[in-house]
Amino acid sequence: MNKLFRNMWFLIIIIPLSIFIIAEGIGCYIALFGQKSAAIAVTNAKDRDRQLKKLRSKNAALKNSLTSLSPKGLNIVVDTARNVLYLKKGNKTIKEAVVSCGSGNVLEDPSGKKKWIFDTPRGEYSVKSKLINPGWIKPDWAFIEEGEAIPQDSNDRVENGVLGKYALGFGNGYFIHGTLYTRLLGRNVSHGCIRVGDKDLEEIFKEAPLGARITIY
Amino acid sequence: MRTSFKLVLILSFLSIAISTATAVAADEIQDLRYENEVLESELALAQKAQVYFIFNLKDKKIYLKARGANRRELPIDQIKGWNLPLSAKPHPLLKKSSLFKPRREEIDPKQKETAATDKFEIDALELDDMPSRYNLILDGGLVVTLRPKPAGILSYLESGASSLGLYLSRPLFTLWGLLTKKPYSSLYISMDKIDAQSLYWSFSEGSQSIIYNP
Repeated sequence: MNKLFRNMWFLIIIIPLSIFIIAEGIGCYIALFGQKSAAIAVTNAKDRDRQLKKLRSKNAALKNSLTSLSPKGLNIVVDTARNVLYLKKGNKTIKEAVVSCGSGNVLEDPSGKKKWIFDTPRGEYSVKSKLINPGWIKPDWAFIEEGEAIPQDSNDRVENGVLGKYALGFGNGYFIHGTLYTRLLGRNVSHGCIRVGDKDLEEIFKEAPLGARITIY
Repeated sequence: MRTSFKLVLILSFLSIAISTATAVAADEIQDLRYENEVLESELALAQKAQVYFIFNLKDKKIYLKARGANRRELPIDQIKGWNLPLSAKPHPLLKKSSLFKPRREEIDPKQKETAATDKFEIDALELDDMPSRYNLILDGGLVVTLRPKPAGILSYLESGASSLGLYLSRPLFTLWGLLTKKPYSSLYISMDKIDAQSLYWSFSEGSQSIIYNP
């Protein structure tokens, strides 16, 4: 009985261990030999040279096509993680500015019907509008955040002097604009817009034409 | 006898040279074919208004790109690939998973009123809040495990244990993938902590990526 018990323990350990080792082995085999790359049939030197020539010219054409897509003129690149804006001519950086991007915070309407996430949108955009001395038309969230009632009259939404001297709109109510809170530049504190210091903003505003590409990541 | 020996030697040398040249050419054809496939995939991504990622395992770099232009390069310290796909097709990011997910602060307007009189504090989701240890689940069953470059004894021990776990689990996941007809492949990457956090920040769900593994 004692011997059988000892054998039982032996089986309890050996069987799962064997299954585990076999499974590991099969898994390794599949990973190592499961995928087959297409074999290259090279019949003779002439055929080989022709194939190589064709592939090389295709390679060059594809690389050219990719290069042709990259922006040639003035464009803006924003790194939201590091809060840095790069003004570029083609791929060459001509100016670097410390900015403030979205805080990533969440605000919910007290009624629970609407929710806002204050992220700076990522992706590719373009300068759609250029404004001098812009006024801020406060959206609903600005009132909710301050615990104020949402005004009925649209004139009550306008607030002047908070967006700095210039603003560049890139769609959906998002702007690259100035800020009163210059000491917070370099931190993620905005509601999604890109806040820039006065001096940098002036240069960006003068340099970037309407339609200039904005890449945000 | 001596002449025939010389002849055999020359013939052997020639045949070795020819077969080596043929093998090199075949390799070059295969490499070019693969590179062209990758470029074609990238071209399709670059034609759209989006930011995409190239995991270049040859250069040991992750490129953040838009319209074919490099926007950021994140150097990789260590790579361990397992059953990596041979195709160059783009893999969209399905999910980012980590033990400690960054939490968004909920703005409480009432609290904000009282906070105005108290000391100033920034409640925001910033780069420092991003995890540096996480998994990226890509389409096609590819799991990219990101870890910070080990520094210090504890970190090396943790890295060793994590590698052991990875080595033991990968074959099992591969077998399970075969049985459930869901392919599994894995890519382990260790990199600088801040770069890993930056990647977590920028690589959002739905973003496209290409694994370049020549």
